[in-house]
Amino acid sequence: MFLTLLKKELFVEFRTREITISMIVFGLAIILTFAFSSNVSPVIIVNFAPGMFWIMVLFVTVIGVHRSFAYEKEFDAFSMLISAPIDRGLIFLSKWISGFIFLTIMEILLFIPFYKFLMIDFPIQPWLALGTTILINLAIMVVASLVSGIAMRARLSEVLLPILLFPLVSPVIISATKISGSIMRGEPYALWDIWLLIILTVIVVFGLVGYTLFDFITEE
Amino acid sequence: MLSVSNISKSFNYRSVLKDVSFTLNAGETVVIMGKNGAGKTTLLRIIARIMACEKGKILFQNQNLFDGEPSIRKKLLYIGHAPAMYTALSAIENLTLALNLRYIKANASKILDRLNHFGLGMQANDPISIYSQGMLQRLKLAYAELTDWDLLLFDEPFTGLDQDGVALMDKALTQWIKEGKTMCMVLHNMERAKQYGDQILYLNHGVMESL
Repeated sequence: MFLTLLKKELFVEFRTREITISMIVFGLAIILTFAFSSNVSPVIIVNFAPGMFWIMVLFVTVIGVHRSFAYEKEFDAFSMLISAPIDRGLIFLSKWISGFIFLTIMEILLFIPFYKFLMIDFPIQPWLALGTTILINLAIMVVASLVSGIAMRARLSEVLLPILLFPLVSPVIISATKISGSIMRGEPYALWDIWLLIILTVIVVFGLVGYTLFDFITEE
Repeated sequence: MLSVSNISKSFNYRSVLKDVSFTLNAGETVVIMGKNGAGKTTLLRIIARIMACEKGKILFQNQNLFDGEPSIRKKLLYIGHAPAMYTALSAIENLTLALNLRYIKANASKILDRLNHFGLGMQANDPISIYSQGMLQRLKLAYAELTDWDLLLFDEPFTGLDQDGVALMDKALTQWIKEGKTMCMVLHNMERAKQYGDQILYLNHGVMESL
């Protein structure tokens, strides 16, 4: 059933392309704003680049998850899911994993413009950067999917979503910034393992909470 | 088949349903009537577990709908005002998804046959966002026909239908009643309520009255 739900998420997005296109366009706009407003040397910008990157990711995540739940409201489509005889935790998992896929696609497409426009050198350990980015994306999306599920029933969901999401996801963004900065500087794992532990904790805790509570969260 | 006991629900501290209770035996049809805002749709959505309630208990086939496994709802079908389908997908894709979510093997030719029967064959592959209200109502009817349900919760089935659509709906409802299916419908027309209903209940300011 999880695969049916995941396939639905990907298929609806494949049809509309609303989530990925809006995420990419918004991400590009943020990169250009950063590039033209931060007129500093490449040496200094390296210190700020990880933070800028993850802030951009956070902003586009809001756009993506909001859209992902907004189309559930059109024609009351969400009723089809929650009235179906399925474990509602699976709906949460499908939203989480599909959001992770869209976010990863967006990052792959925005990676080159980000580094080119801000004139940053590529990470010293690209595979390590890729592995940690996947974990960070999972952590961001698990929080965002849960919060978006809570906010979707609210009248001002588009306002409520960032208000709830930003404080909850801030440990992930801080950890992500620290991890990416350490990897870019080629620091040993022992210096940033605590931040990775925070990311893993968020994935496990929010994953379990979301899976368990989605049954109650989704009811009007 | 269905036992609704003391269901209460309020919105913004305004009580919409006050200790609503009724029972529905297998093979019976209950029609719920009432003014706009009386809580008819809310009641159906609570039974379908789309909406939560503050108090009460619902037994469906002797199993508690609020505490039990999701599989209890397998034979319970809710069809509301809105199509509850994805605007970006076609009728065939939506029906395939809806059936898969109910663990029913979706057969494309059977789906197309039902869509043809309800006059949607030509638009079967179009996204449902371009469908009219009447076409969406026909699509819901096709969904109900393709689904293996024991209890159908149908909210205002005749809304938006043209003359032919009304005839199709009437034929389907009459057929289901003949087959001994159990239904809980919201209707506004008393003549129709008498035609289909074994019981007619009236929701008056959140209180259920029998007519």
